[in-house]
Amino acid sequence: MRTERKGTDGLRRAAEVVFDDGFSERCAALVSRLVRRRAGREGAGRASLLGPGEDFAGHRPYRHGEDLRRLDWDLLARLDKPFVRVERREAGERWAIWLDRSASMGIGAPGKLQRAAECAAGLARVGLALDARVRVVLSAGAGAGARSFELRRSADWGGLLAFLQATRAEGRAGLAALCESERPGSDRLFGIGDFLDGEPRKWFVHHTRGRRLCGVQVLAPTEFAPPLGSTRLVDLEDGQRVELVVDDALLTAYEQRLESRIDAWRTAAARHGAIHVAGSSARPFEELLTPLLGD
Amino acid sequence: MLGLEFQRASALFLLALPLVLWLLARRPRPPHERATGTLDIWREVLERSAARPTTRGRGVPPGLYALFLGLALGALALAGPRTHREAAPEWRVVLDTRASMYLPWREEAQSAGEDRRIDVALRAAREWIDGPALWTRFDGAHWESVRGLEPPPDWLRATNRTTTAMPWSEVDRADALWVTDRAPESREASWCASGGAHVDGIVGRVDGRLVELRDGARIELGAASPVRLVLDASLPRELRGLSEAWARERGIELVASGADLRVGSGASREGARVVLGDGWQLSGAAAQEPAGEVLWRDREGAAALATRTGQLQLALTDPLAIEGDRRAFALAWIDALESSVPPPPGAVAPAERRAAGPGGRHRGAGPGPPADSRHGTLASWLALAAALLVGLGLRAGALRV
Repeated sequence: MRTERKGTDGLRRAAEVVFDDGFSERCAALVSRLVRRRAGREGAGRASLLGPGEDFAGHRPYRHGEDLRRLDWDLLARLDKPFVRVERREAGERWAIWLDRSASMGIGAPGKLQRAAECAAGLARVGLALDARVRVVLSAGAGAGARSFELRRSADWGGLLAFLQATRAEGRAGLAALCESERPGSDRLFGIGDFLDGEPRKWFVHHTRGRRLCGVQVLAPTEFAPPLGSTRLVDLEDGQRVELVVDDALLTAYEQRLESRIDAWRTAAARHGAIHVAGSSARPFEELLTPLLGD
Repeated sequence: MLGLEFQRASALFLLALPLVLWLLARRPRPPHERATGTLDIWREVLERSAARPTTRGRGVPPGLYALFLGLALGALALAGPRTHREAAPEWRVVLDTRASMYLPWREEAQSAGEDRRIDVALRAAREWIDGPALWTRFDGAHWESVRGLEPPPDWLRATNRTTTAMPWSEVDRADALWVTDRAPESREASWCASGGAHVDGIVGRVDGRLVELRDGARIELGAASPVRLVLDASLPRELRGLSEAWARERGIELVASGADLRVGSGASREGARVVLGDGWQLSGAAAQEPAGEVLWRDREGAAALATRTGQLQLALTDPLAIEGDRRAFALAWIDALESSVPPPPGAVAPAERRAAGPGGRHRGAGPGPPADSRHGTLASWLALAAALLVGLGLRAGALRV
């Protein structure tokens, strides 16, 4: 859905969030896809989103045809009978989803904030399906501090959609501001934004033992591939302008520079055992979340 | 000179289109403003590269130049340029300039200043002539040719008429188009004949009196103005005496200048010249060969005596020797003088005044296609280049700007 409008300064923006009628069904499909994958992987591996957080529940007798990797070899040696380990997902995990809603998120068609909000809502739905408590935090808007919404059960999800639809891209505070002001207090921390306002170290300072960090970097199509020609670029957060003629050489240099920025985030994420996904707001939110779901 | 001509010259105004587009492309206008979250990356890139932020007017992208050039070539192609070599079929229009061609097409039209036979025949011929032609006439001795859209204007004036018969057989070829009055017989040439009615009028002078044909009858009118004759000093003495005797007998006035007929020899040359006549031989020092209708030739075939309007010129000079039948020689010389006397103004021979029949026209094979037509014309090459350049311009992203 396109919500791009021209602002009073003549610049096109997509500052608002609108969830269309089919969005809930798309999230439900995402969850059922995840559940099917979990069933297929019961005890046999770990999806990214399901990584740490599984614990030992007990033993049961080995059934013919089961994966021998699940066999408890110590018990077999001691009792001379085959048993397999039974693990269950730890209930009551806490998730935090930080959402950048600074003015620069109002760029693109569809807007970066729209796609980021869809990712946040989709993740929250997945978290609820996994019995996690989910807290969605919005960065501070113009004249307002950071706001949050907590979900404990599936019925809360509708409230989250309303919460997200009430927000708009404004102000200068993004993920970097949240990194400084917020304490995650969660087992998983998801950051969703353009990741253009800070350095990786500010984000990965929240990486601690037992906490998994996932970053979803959303950029506008024109930020990935700016058009050639004479243009005046405007930073919506500080109002600064640069007028330039974009030719092939300049465009190539820009693309290389942007790629190196994104690579820096990916490298830092890999070093911390975290996940960092970068994509265009033109891509569906399911595609952006796919790497987090372990595909 | 490129020798170019255009079939549709009006299409050349389309050349203004690329010029206008170029001016529009160079027109300074505010750049497109676009929001971005990556301004600091752009700043880094600008700092590292030679490019600098600019507030200047728009430059024209190279791709647009290809587009402009392509449009210009396209306009030229539409105008249908072609070289003279491509400009075929080109007719060789042979214009009959005998006296009959300048008679009124209809007798009653004479006083009304209406069309002459040459005008009517030319009008018919122009329906077949597309573009420039090779206009050709016979001046009594040589063929003259001029390439152009129209024949030389003086060819259309009666004062430049040809006094000899037209040697049509010399120009009986497929690309020839004869413009005449009487329907001729041709093997390959095309022709347009005006036809025309019999035209009464002055036919000449006899014994100092004008003679006119009226309703087919000969009528002698009043005395014609006397013919004035100049005998050049270069004329050999014996011929001068013969000429003076002829002038006295014919009532012709001998003057020093302003003559109707001038008789003389050309400038002296080295060597001798001999002319053999019917029972007589003329020998003398060689003089310059005369131009015009050749009356006598020497033993080598060179012109020895020739006449053209108001002039009779001999290619021999003193010392001159006449051998054999001197009386026969005298008659031959007087014949030459008689044929050189210009007719009175407006006089046309009775044979020329005869009706020329209904006229008509015949189209033969006509001029063939140009030799290089199978290899494409200049216009098609221009169109191809234009298409390539426009495609290149569009591909270069010119339209994105």
